[in-house]
Order: sequence, then structure tokens, then C-alpha cells
Amino acid sequence: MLLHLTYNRVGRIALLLAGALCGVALAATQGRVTDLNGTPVTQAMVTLTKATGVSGATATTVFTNEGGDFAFAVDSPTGTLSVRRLGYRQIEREVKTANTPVTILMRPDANQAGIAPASAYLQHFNNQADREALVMNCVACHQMPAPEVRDYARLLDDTPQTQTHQAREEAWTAIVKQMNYVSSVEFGRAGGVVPSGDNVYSGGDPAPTAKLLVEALQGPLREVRGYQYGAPLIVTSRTTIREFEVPAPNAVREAVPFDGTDYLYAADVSSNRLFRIDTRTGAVKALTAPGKDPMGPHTLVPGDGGVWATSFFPNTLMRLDPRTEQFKIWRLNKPRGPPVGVHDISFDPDHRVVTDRHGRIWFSDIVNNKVGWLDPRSGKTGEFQIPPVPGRTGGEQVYGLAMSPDRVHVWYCQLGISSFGSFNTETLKFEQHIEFPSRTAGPRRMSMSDDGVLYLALYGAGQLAAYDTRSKSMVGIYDLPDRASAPYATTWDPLRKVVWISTSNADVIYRFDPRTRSIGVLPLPRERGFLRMVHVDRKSGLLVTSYANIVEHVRGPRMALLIDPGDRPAGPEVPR
Amino acid sequence: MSTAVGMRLRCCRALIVVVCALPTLASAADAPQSLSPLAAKQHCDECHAVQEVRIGPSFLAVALRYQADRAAAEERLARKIINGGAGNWGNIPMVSNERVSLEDARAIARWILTLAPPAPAR
Repeated sequence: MLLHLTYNRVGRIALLLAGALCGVALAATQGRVTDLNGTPVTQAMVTLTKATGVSGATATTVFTNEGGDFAFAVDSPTGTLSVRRLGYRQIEREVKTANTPVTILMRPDANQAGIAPASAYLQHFNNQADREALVMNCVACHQMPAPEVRDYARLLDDTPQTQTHQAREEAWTAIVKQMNYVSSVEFGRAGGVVPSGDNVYSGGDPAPTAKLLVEALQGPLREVRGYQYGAPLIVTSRTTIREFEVPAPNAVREAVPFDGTDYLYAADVSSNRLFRIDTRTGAVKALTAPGKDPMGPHTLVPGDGGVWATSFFPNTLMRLDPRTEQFKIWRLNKPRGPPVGVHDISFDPDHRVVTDRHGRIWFSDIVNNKVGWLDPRSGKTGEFQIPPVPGRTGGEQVYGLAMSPDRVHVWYCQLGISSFGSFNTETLKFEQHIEFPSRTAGPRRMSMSDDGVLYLALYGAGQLAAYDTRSKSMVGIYDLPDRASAPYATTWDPLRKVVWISTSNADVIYRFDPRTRSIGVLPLPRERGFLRMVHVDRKSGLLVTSYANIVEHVRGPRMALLIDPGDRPAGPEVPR
Repeated sequence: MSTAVGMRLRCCRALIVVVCALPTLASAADAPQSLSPLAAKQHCDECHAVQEVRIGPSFLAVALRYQADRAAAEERLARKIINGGAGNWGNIPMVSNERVSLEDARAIARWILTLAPPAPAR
């Protein structure tokens, strides 16, 4: 990453020098965004989608300043420009990049369809328990309401037979049955039994979710109005978002940087591949792990010696050495033992793989409700069953995992029963256990600050929880600006001392500042930004994340993102 | 990757008893047919089967209904595949499938119609 940024800057200086020497005016793509009266439109997202065959990021986004002005880097590719901003709609569709300043015209439009995120359609669905249940049941696989869901709501509105409450409930019940089947096929790939024949729709009771859909999705959903981000935007005219598309077919999950390289690495859960994405050119190279058994890498964590990947298909943990592009694979299950399904592995406040004091990497086993360990030197493994939580037994789904700064305590959360707790890697005993009041709060991926505060993203509840593991007290549970945003993960940012919160349903990343307990919004330039975890490149401070639309039906983007929030002093490490 | 629904399903798997004996419909088809590769690729099986009633009607029933006028039915079914909507088969509208090309939709419709023999001339 550092190399790339330095390269960028050197490249720009070289271009400028060349231009000066030749007497040629080199102009970056720049311009202004205004309404028809010439009034500047501020904090608008201006996206440059590169022309086919041109090298670079698939799309680069900058934001307008108070004068409505925007500028891309001198070495930005040619292509087309598009603008997104809540409350406005671009008038001309195809605006091409040019050597002279471009003016992009916007008109106010109260209908935010196509601009506001999916969560905007749930802004009046205020019953917290119902909203939590809907998000937990649906958004795990796709945004709600995704455009396809909105299409179906429109179809119901247009169809004479579905004008009654009962008819709509029947129709949504059919859709939920279909989705349950799709889910069982998707997860059946991990070795389970896929329902078939007369039992094809036996994968769960569709009725409760169908009732929620009838309540939540009233009307044809052709329009959405009045949505606001709910907190100040943190973008500046120096904010840059670069999106790198991974060619289909794939099911991109996590994307991470790797120190000292110009590459991002992205996991493809539909295969045994990681993708190496060159941030200079946008070129994508597939790196396939050896072996015939399906692995399906999904969670990635950089560490010493490579990029570690947990696999969706049980029993393996792998590590890619980016220098040799060779994989090393460890088997986690005992002979004749149950399959081990790893979701997360232990990482430190720098978000790098970390072992306990005995050299063991710890992991969450989502299939068996256990925490386990692997000693990568010897290949030895072990697991410990998490004690049952009275009144909340069954379907625990241990999910996120984080290691304390002293490398003694492993913290885990249980998505299915909304609780979290710790395990002592010295005494090999379970210690703390805390439950959230709502069973559908839905803690997912966690991280821990360097002063021992555990941050949990509450997916169902749309909240951030901060728990001080040293004083053993809850610092606070904070409502996110959009309670239907489905926050997927927290990331402690050791450089900025803030927490980044990625969302699945709101096309934004939130920034929480623990000093002021305030929240800011980093909007993303694309619909269906179904995010996975944010990673912070510790040298450059850039953020890396991904649009992880995994289910084949979901037509959303499959991209890795490189984001400069534009909040650090300009210097050789910060691209413009 | 693991989702609420997915994990719930995973937990339920032990309870799932797969009943394999499909009811044999009295039909014009000589033998049970499997889904065409194109229909499988487009995930038609999520709502339809060749002989069973799923969320939507069996393909065989559709073929029998339209066996009298295959040429017109092909175009009608192709549009139905893409646009969805409710009509002859109850109150639950079929989802639209705008990702399916007209060419693919016609090919799927043609395959559905082959499941029943053309109606004899009267």
C-alpha cells in the first residue's frame, strides 16, 4: 500500500514535470456540481467509472466541497461521471471526463428511490422487536428490501388477486419458503442435507417472517422519501473511495490489505480462491489453494507470514504467503470427530492474527458452539465447549472473536442468542458471560481497542455496544443513526483511535469516536453495498472493505474497496 | 457467511427426514423427466418441479394446459418467466426474473411444452 501511494505521488510529480517541460497543460478531471440555478451541491459523491480497457480502479469517488467543486487525481483514468446525493437526481446520464472543467447538473427530487439505501424503506417500521427479527431473518443473506423484493411488492400492488392482507401474507409466505430453500442449498454446500422432494420447503417455518414482511413492506415501494443519514457526514474534498470489481462468477467475501504491497486480497467463498487485486492497475489474479475438497475462504486476517483465511466448508484453516503465492493448510478436526466450522480467528488491536502466550491461534467454531485453538507450528488443535446460557440454549452460533491486548483472554460473541463472554487461555476456563436483553440483538464481528474495550456490532438492534473488559463494565450501548442499517462488524482503528462500523443494509460505514461518543457517516457510492468487515492498513491509514453479495441470485456488486477518509494531513502517504 | 437462516437450517438438518417417494401423477408423460439444464441454471426448481406441485404448478401441468397451441404458448410462457405475475394458477404471483434473457426464457418455455404431447387434431 505504502509503495503504491508513494508511486502515485511520484507519478503525479513526474507527470507535472513532464507537462511543464513540454509546455502541455495536464489537467485532472475536475468540475462543479450545481442545481439548475447554479447553486453548489455540497458533499455530493462524484464517481468516475473508468472506460473499458483503461487501467485503474473500476470506479473512483470523490466528494464536492462547499463550493460544489470536485477534482480527481491527475493520473485518474478516463471514463464517465455520475453523482449521487440524497435529495437530488442527476439530470444528464452520460457525462464524460474531459480535459476542461465539467459542470454536472442536479435537480432536487424528494423521491429517493435508487439513491437512498434499502434501510430507508424500513424507516417507519418502528417496532424494535419486529425490526430486529426481520433484519436477523433476511439481511444475513441480502439487503432488505433489496430491489428484487421491491419489485415483488410492486407486483403484489399491481395484481388484482393480492389486494387483501391474507393474499399478501400467502404471497410473502411463498417467497420466504423459496428463500429458505435457497439458503439450505447455499449452506448445504458445506456438507449438510438439502431438503428435496416433498420436503423441499421444510427448512423453517415461513409464517413469522411473512407476517413481518406484510407489516414492513406496505405499498408498492416505488418511492421512498424523507430518509436522512441521521448524523454528520465525515467526508471532505480529500475523501477518495476506490472500488475494484472482481470479474464474475465469484462470491467475494472479505478483502484485506497486506503490508508493504500494492495488493488487496479478497476471499471467494464459492471456490478455493483468493483474489489478488493490484490497486495500481485494477488487475485481478486468482490464487487457488491446492486440494480437491471445497474450502470456501471467507474471513481474512493478515498476519506474520501471510493472509489467513477461515473456510466456510468445515475443517480447514489456510494461510497464503503473498510473496510465494503458496498456501499452507491446516486440518482442524480430529479423526472421527465432529466437523469444525471456523468463523473467526484471534487478532490483536492492529487487526493482525495473534496467538496466545503459548503460540496458539484461537478460533470460534460456529457449528459446535466451541472456542478452539490451533498451534500452527505443530498442527495440534483443541476445543472447549461454551457453557450453555440458561433460557437461551440451542442455536447459539458463536461468531466473532477477539483477543485481549495481554493475549490471555479470548472474547467471543454468540449471534444466535445475543450474548458474549471470555475464555482464559492460561487457565483454560470460561470466565465472563454477558447477555444482551434482546435475544435478537445479534452481535456479529467484534474488535478490541488497545486499552481493552470490546466493541460489538449489534446487527439486529442497529446498535454499537462498548464493553470495558478491564473494569468488567458496559461503557455504553449506542443507537446507530439508522436502526435498520444492520451493522455487521466493528473495527478498532489504532491510528485514529476510533471505531469503524460496517453495515449490511445502509450503504454506509459509521465512525464512532469514543472520546466524544459521537457518530459520523461515511456514505458509499453504490446501491447494495453489502459490507463485510473494515480493515485499516496500518502504514497508510487507508480503509479496506468489500461488497460481499454472496448469494448467486443477488445482483449486487462484488468489489473490494480502498478508502481514504480524507481526515489525515496531506503528505506522502495520503493519495489525492 | 453463516446466517441466521442458514444456521437454523444447519441445526435442523438432523431432524429432516427425506421422503423420496414422489407421487406418480397420472399423466401424458411416459416417464419422469428431470429438469432441463437451462431451467436448473436459472433456478426454476426453487418454485417448480417437473411433476410435483411446489410454490408454483408442475411443469407437466403447464405443458398440458397449453398443449393445444404450443406456438402461442411459447411466447406467452417466455414473457411470464421474465415478467412474473398471477394468472391461471392461483393467487400467488410468480416473481419476475428480469435477469433471464428472452432467448433463454423461450428455450425454457419450449422445453416445458415438450413435456406433454401436442394435442390431437380435432
